[in-house]
Amino acid sequence: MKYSDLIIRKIQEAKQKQITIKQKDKFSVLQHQEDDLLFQVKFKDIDKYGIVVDYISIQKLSPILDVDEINRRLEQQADAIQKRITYLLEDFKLIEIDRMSKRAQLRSYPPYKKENSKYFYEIVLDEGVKIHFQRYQYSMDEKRYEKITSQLTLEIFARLIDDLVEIIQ
Amino acid sequence: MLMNMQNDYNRFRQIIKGKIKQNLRKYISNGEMIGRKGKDLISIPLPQIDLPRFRYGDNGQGGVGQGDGEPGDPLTQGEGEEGAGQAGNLPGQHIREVELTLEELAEILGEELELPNIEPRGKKQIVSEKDRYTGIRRVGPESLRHHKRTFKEALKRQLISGQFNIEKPKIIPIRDDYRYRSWKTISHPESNAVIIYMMDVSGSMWDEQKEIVRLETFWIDTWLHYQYKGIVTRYIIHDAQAQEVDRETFFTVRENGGTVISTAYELCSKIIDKDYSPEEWNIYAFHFSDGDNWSRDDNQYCVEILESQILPRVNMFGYGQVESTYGSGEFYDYLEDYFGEHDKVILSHIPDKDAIYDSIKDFLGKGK
Repeated sequence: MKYSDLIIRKIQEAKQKQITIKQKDKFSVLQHQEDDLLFQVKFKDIDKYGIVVDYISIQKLSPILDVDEINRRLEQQADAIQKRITYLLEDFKLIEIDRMSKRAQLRSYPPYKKENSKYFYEIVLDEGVKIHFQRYQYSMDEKRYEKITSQLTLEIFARLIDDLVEIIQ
Repeated sequence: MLMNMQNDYNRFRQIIKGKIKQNLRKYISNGEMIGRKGKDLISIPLPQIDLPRFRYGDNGQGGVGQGDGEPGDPLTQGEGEEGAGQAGNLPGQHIREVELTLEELAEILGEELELPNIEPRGKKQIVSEKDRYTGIRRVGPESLRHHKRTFKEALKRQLISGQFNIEKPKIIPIRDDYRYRSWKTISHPESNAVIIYMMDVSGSMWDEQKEIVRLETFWIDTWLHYQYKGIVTRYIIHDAQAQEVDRETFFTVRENGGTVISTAYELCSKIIDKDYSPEEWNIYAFHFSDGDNWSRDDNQYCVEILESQILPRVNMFGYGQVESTYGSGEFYDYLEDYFGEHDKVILSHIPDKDAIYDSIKDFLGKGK
């Protein structure tokens, strides 16, 4: 079974049984460990067509110890994201890569502009073993960022989970 | 009648200054003129200065005559028929360029933005000495001989002694008539000043944002150079690490690192420690970033460095937050929460080039 199928099944089960591991701000957070991977998905709702997801976080539990190896992995992962995750209507671009704190930040480019706001996805890579996906809205009037949900079809969500897993591994 | 060229020239300069003032907002947000900056002069393209000239009528198309018409009919040429014409193939009008000194430009900036003159802090003033040729002596090197005064002395001598013949005027100076220029050493008290520019060059600061910083710093430089003689400028760039660079590198370097603002503030503080005693120097620090600091902990650390190390020693700390493609980070809000009312801290949002004009006013409008 693919990781994506497993996660979707877990989320649906959680919704049906109304069992959530944590409940916060009307959102549910699924936390699930499978093999060497820890999944965290904060979601608002799911049905048979799609999911309203706040963030997806996947962490490989065995750390990489060599700094050069981490930085090499960060570059490879950033490159893979830009090439593979092209189905969200916005392509990704590497914005910053910080070799000291071993982090990389990618954002969808160009950000989608609607009225007085800009919308974009962000993926943060941490130490070569953690990947975090989130969507943001920037209000040009209020001049501040806000985390917002992504509304994805289950097919896209599944593909995203599998791609992120493959990239982190 | 004697034509005084100087009057005409001064009038011409006034017209130019007026034109520049009218279009100052455009010049400020347009980097074109900065590319034309020489050492002391700057070329400014002016769209057109109309020089007075005669205008001729349509000669040869008839004269005074009589004919059909009613009282009140206009005597002008009839209007031609409208129609589609061919595109012109002649070159357009050339834009005139005028040269201004940076001092003149600063004056215009000050007048238009109503900038107050800076009151240097009550610091020890550094005295500089300059030689000025202001006196006349009887001895000196031949290269400094003052011919006009020498001939004047000779004429006086010849008139007094009766040697001067008005029918046959001839003036021959002798050794006693020779006069030479001499200099005096004049002491000028000067307030020294240093500007420390810091810029975020992390991956999220793209060329557009850096161009805004380049334009903004040009005008700040121009104003502060006008206010202080002997000003020194230092440049710091940072992403996750900070380093001091030269001016050229400051505006051209491209990095893709993360953003750790505190590294720049630490380096700024070190530079002040090492080279600029607050007792002797007026210190200005400006920082430009898109405000996307890597962590909130670092925001807090920045506040601590500013509060304990930088603000007590500077005349002014200016923070300009430019807007990246994705927006503007939260660092501005962080500083505003802590230093919104602080006397020495000036914060400015610069979302685009058009906002530079107001931002300069924010930074320099307090006369710090």
